[in-house]
Amino acid sequence: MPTTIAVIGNPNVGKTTLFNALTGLSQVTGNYPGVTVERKVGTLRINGTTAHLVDLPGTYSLAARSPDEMIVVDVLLSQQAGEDPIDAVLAVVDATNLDRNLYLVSQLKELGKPLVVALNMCDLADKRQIKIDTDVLSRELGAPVVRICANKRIGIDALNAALAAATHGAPTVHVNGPEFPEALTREVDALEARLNHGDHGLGRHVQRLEVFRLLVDRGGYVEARLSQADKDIAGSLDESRARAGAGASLAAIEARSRYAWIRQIVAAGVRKPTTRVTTVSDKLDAVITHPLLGTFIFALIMTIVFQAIFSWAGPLMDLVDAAFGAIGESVSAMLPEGMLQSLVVDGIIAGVGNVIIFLPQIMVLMFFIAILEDCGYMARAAFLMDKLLSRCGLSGQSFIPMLSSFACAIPGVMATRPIGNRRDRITTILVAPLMSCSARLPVYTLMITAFIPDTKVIGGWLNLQGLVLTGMYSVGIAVAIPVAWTLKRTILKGETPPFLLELPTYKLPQWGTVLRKVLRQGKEFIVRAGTIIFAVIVVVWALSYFPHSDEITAMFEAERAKVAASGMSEEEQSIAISEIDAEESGAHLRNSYFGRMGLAIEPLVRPLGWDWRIGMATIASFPAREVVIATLGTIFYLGSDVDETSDSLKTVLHESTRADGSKLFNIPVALSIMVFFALCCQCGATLAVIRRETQSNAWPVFAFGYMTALAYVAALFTYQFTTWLGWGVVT
Amino acid sequence: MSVEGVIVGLIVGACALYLGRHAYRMLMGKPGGACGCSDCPSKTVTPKTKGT
Repeated sequence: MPTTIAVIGNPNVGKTTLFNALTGLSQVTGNYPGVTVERKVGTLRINGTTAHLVDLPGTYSLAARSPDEMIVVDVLLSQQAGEDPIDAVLAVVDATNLDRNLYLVSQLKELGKPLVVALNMCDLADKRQIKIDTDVLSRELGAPVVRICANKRIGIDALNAALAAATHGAPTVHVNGPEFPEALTREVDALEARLNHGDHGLGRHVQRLEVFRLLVDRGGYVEARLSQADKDIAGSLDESRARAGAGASLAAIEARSRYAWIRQIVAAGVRKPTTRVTTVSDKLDAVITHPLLGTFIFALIMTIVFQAIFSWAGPLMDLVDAAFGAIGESVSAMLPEGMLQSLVVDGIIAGVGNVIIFLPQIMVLMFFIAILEDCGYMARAAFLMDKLLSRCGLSGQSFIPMLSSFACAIPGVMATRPIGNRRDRITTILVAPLMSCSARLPVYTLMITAFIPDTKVIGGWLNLQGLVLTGMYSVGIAVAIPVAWTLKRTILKGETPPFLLELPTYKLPQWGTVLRKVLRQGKEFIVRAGTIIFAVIVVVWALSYFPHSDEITAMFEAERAKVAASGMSEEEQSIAISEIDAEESGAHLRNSYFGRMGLAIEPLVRPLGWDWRIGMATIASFPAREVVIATLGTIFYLGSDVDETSDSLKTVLHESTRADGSKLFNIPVALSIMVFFALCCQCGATLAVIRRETQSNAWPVFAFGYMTALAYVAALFTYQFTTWLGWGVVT
Repeated sequence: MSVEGVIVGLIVGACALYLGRHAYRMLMGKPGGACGCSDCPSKTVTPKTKGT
């Protein structure tokens, strides 16, 4: 039976880099059963035998409160369903921050399993003139300590050898761990004896570490789990805690005892410079995390990103546009006129093609997000936002999921797992979809390029279109703050625990990682275009094409015959026939199933400045918001005299008119559409993930309901207000 | 019915079925990765036990 080794460490210590260095490509990624915490298992050859390496979520302590930490405790205590018992533990620690990292090590020692400590980031420690004597550290910890540099693959062989020795019967050296007050130790002893010998209904041996956590972590995970199995436990815990702590907090007693032990070890094995070495990271942080300068830099970076989205992606988008135009023309020429030609040209090519055009912009956005994440800037952004978020009852911990949601709300919702406080977590889940994900980008871009003038502002430094895009991305953040504030003061009322954030050292982005993220996002976008968007658009086409009334066709044929017999010049006839064609297309569309439904809902969307076509395109995009581009493409190509997709969608939208002949789109209508899409929860996958993460039907229903209502009201206000300002006058 | 009608009917029918299945899986909380997102929880595999 292969050996199982748990890899554990604080967040941002290079645990996953080491895991990858040890296991290479032999990894299986999945979820722990029943929860959505990622489980990563890799295979490693040690001394000719196979060992399984389990990469556990990063944690600072075994006092579990969040789902991630609960998994860590369960795996270490061999209580995780479907998981084999752990044979050894590999603790990854940050050599530059040993004091804090050894806290977790001190808890791991109490597990009684063979332990190997990997001292990572030794190169950084050297730079900071921190001298660590690994022999002394090994002796004091009673476990082998190996210097490594995981990202440079330094020390991996030595670590393999240490793991081999630890898992093949090397004697465990006993050293004294942290010394806890006698009263606490006595209570742990008594509780351990009672749980393992009494009639407690657990039916298994309860390890000492588990008993310790049960006693010390008031309201913690171990207490909740054991109390569920045995109701009597909860009743006696308060008395035990009172005796153990003599009125003081047990958590504080634990921290004091452990840090006293850590100080002894560090004093023996670590030499630090007497004056703190100021690193480049420190110098950068003085500026980047400054309340005023930092906020200005954050705004500047975001503005540059959105300006670049237009200027960098433009030429590539033109290429894709031209390619789809050419495809549309050649397919039109190949297929005989009829419903199949209409399906392929007006439906699939016009619909899917108009969505794919936005691929370059999404990749540019992801390129910047990946760089900012990889170089360590995102943690600084979270730090900057902590003050703002704390005013609405959240902490900077909620900012990371919100930032992830700028790429896609699904990983954003999943990134809320480390938030231990359930009310804070649900509040973050409910506001995360308000952030403008990459699927909203095509909607913004289409409306902005079609209706916002391409002019320079602020002395020619900034492009107005880029500024409007920055504004649309800010809408989500601006609305999320009051929404979170309201939720935290009403249905999700509760205290917010203090937020501790580690700022990782700045580093140059790893281009391989950046490229992988960009390509992954690009692939996901193409997959969506090829599956859900394709399917929706074909159904929308069918609803917009049928019933293709013979009466309408015959009526317009008669009109054409009249024109032919009228004796007009050839040029006059051509103009008249074009007008008849456009009227016929419009008549067929209004008579279609889609048209009938649209005309029925039109009174609801008219106050937003929309007509039934925009309303129906919006409704069709509830499963996935990019569908609106495809649907607009299909509806407006079907309902116009444009035979090919060679005319860009924005040109077609520009020329579209209402029944009274006035222009359908103007700046207020474009803004109203963008604001609606910025705030509405048009993503079935996000709602499904909210259901998963909250284990409830009520929260996705609530998210959908409040976001749709908010979107409608905000779009209504935007249209009415900007019309009142006179922005709706078409010049 | 013409060959063209049959082809169009098959394409539209297949897409409608696909959407129906997608909607059902959404309602059941199983996105199934149809959204294309690699982070989709239901796309990940159930962990294998050791040695299998």
